[in-house]
Formats: sequence, C-alpha cells, structure tokens
Amino acid sequence: MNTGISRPEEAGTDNSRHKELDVLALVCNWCTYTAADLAGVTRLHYPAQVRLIRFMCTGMIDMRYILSCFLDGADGVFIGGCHPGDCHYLTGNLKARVRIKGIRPVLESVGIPPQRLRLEWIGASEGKKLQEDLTSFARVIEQLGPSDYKGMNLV
Amino acid sequence: MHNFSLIETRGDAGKAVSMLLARLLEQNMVQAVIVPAAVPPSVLPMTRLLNNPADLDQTSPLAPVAGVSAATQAAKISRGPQEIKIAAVLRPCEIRALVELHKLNQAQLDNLLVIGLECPGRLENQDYIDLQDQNQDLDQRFYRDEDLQSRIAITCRSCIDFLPENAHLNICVLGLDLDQQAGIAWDEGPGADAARALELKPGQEPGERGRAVDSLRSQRESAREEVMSRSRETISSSSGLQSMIAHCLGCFNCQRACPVCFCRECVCSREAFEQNLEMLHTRAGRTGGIRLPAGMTMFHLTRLAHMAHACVGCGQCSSVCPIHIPVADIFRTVAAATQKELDYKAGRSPEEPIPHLNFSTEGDQ
Repeated sequence: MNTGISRPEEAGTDNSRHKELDVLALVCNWCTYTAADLAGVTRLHYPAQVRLIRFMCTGMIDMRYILSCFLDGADGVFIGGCHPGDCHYLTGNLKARVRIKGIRPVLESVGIPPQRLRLEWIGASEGKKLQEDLTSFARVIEQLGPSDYKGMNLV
Repeated sequence: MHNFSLIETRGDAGKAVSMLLARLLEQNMVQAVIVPAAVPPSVLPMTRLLNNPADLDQTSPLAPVAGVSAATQAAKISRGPQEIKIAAVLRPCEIRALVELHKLNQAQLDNLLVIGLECPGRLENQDYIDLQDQNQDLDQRFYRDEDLQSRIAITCRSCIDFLPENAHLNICVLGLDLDQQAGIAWDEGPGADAARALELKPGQEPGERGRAVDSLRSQRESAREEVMSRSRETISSSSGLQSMIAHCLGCFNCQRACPVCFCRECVCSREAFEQNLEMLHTRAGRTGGIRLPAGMTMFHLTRLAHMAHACVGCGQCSSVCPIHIPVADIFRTVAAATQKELDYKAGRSPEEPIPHLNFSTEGDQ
C-alpha cells in the first residue's frame, strides 16, 4: 500500500552510515516536543539515529541524565528547550542552560568532546528548525564517530 | 590584611594562640570557641567546642592535622541561636568550604568570628598519630622541621591557596620563628574589634614573611602544574579514567568527607537511581558481566558534575579513600576547568553568586 509517506532512506538521508551511532534528544514537552509533532504533521524527516525522549521541562534534566546517556553509549546528546522567557515554568530552560555550561568542562575533561552535547531553543511552531538542528547535529556526530565510552565495560 | 602584630610565643606558639582565644572568651567578644583539640586518650586533634577560658590550655590550634574538615561542623553550629557568638579557628580550605556552604544556605557567617590559620599543609591523620608517638612537641616542631613538612598530605603538597581569605583575624606562621614569635593580622570590622579586645598593637610586618610566602607559592605552583597535567592526561580517555577509579569500593567515603557536598541524602544513594536486577541483567549481557557494586563511574562523574564548581581543594576525599584513589587530583583538575569556564572560584567571596543559581535571560545557548 502506498501511504504517500516517504521513508527516511527514500528522502535522501543515507542511514546506513548512521547505523551504529546513537543520538538522544532530550526535549521539552511544551516546545520542542510539540515542534516534533508539527514536523511530523508537516512530514519533515529527521535522521533515524535520533531518539526523542520527552521531558516536562529542560529544567528537570539533571546533569546525571546527560552523564547517563553518554556512559550508556550515546554518541551525542541533544537538548531542546523553550526560548528564554517562554518557559512554561518560568526559568526551567535557564536552569538547563547553566547546567549544560557547567557540565561541558567535565565532559571535556573525561574525553567527551563538548560538541557531542548541544542545546537548542526550539519553539512549538518551529518544526522546520527542529529538523534542521537535528540533522546538523547528527552530521556533527557522524563526523566525530563513535564515542570513546561506547561499549565500555565501566566499573 | 592591613594590620599586623607579633605575639611572643616562648617556645609554644600553640599555647600563645590558645591564650588569645581564652582572652576573647574572657572579654566576652565571643561566647564559644571551636578549635582543634585532642580529647585523651586520643592524640588526634579534632574540632572541639569550648566556652570556659580555663579549658583553652588543652587545645592545639596550630596542630598540622585536620581529622575531618572543620567547615562542616562550623557550618552546623553557625545555624544555631544567633546571639551566641563563636570564634572558629579554620584552615584556608575550611574557610573556603564555609563560604560555599554559606552561599548554599547551610551556614551563617554573621555570628562567626573566623580566625584563619596560614597553612603549610596538614599531615594525614594516621601519620600524625604515628609521629605524635615519636615527638611530644610535634605541633611546635612541625613548623621548623622541613622533614616533617615534607610529609604533609599529598593534596597539600600542590596547594597554592595556603593563605586564609575571608577571615577576620589571621594567625601568621610563614617566615616567622615560631619558637620566638607568631603573627596576627586583621582588617577593619570584627577583626579590628577583636584585636582591640586582645590589646594587640599594630606593628611592622617582618620582610621575611613576603619572601617565605613567595618561595612556598612558587614551589607549590610547579608541583600543582605537574599533578594537574598528569591527571589531565590520564582522565582524558575512558580507559584512563577507568584505570584511575577501577578499584573503587563504592564506600562513598569521598562524598561524606567532602565539606561542600552538603545534601543530606546524596542523589547517588537514592532508590530511584539504584540499578535493579533487570537493568543489570541487560547490561551484563552486553558487556560480558558486570562488577558489583555497579555504577561507580557514574557516581564519580555525578559528583564531578554536581560539585566541581564548588571544589575547594581540601583533599579530604583522597585522604579518606581506603584504596588510595587520587580522588582529589581528579576533582581539582576538573574543578579548575569548570571554575574557569564559569568564571567562578569556590570560596573566593561570600558575595559571589553560585553560577548554578544565577539565571538570566541574557545570552544564547
């Protein structure tokens, strides 16, 4: 049956090279996740190695969640939150921003390049931006290759 | 510090300082004092709270040891009734920790008279106990015996912040012959009030002090650079980091000994983060078995992520590690990078806001 929906491979994204790479996108329910809905409705595709995880707010993303992603083998972590001033809970996104600033040097010190972690502000109406940001982030991860922590048997 | 005064020690600097503390109590400048003192049969000085001037002769304010970081205790008692004024004799790293705890609403600075001790370093607890057996006058001898000074804790050997900051009064020992004299320094404010009560006369600061401080600093700076570059190199890969923490027993001593790790219940010991059989089972299949207790890399990285901005470099985490993991070396290395990135220095000033609590809508990602 032809549903008219083109699969990502057919849309011109070469997924074979992404196969072993994992990108986790931790996204805010009120903006980026809604933008992902919009992107879906508009039939915009984002790279297949990206998995979205919905949070009620980027302010609830403890540094531990980010570390957990990397130690469990993620090659990149993308965080999508509301534009400053638009947070549903007033300052959650600003909390996320300062935490990410604080965790970058820690990641870099232990051999996780800071480019593997990206924060973007994506409003609910910016389905297109979601697609662009995820695609460009996936490309960066692809260039960096698998993370040093992937598949490690950590104590 | 603008004012400086020499006090006669008559061969026992610790006693001379104790007498000053006793006089602070007699003059009712403070109602209690916390200062290191050993309670027999123990020979290890630990933080002790005293309020009777006659008891002060049993204290060892200059003992080159810190059983635990006194900052935790100072913070706890500072939250008590504010009308009880307390003089606290603290090392530079303990003052920095106290400042951090104050910013985290864990300590009140208003009712404390902070007396900072210039710190050539501390001995490890066991070393102090052993050396005390051989030297009855260890506290006094330490300051003139370079051999003893070379045995200080490994973290102290590369510490460059050995001068107390944010104290009201400083006890000065560097560049002085403690058998003859010790120094007291103070600024305007509560320190000056205390100095008046102690009838200290401002005098000339001996020139040797500056030279002694500079020479210690340059020696420590090169040691620090060496330690930091070595651990930077090692932890910069997953296998290097693993090699450093591979023996971790999961005792959480480092977290409990850390003066700035203030949470009553650490997120790492919360049930929500406990790895249940189901999770371990999946992972074990993937990695060829899993060591229990699991999650030690996660534990250390979590502590780094949560606390690197507040690390004051006291080295207690390394001192309490039963398996001698250089926790403090890892921590100081990452803390240096984090604090540089956040343009913040732990314990520098009580007014400097903690970056994680400072939100502004300005700026981009």
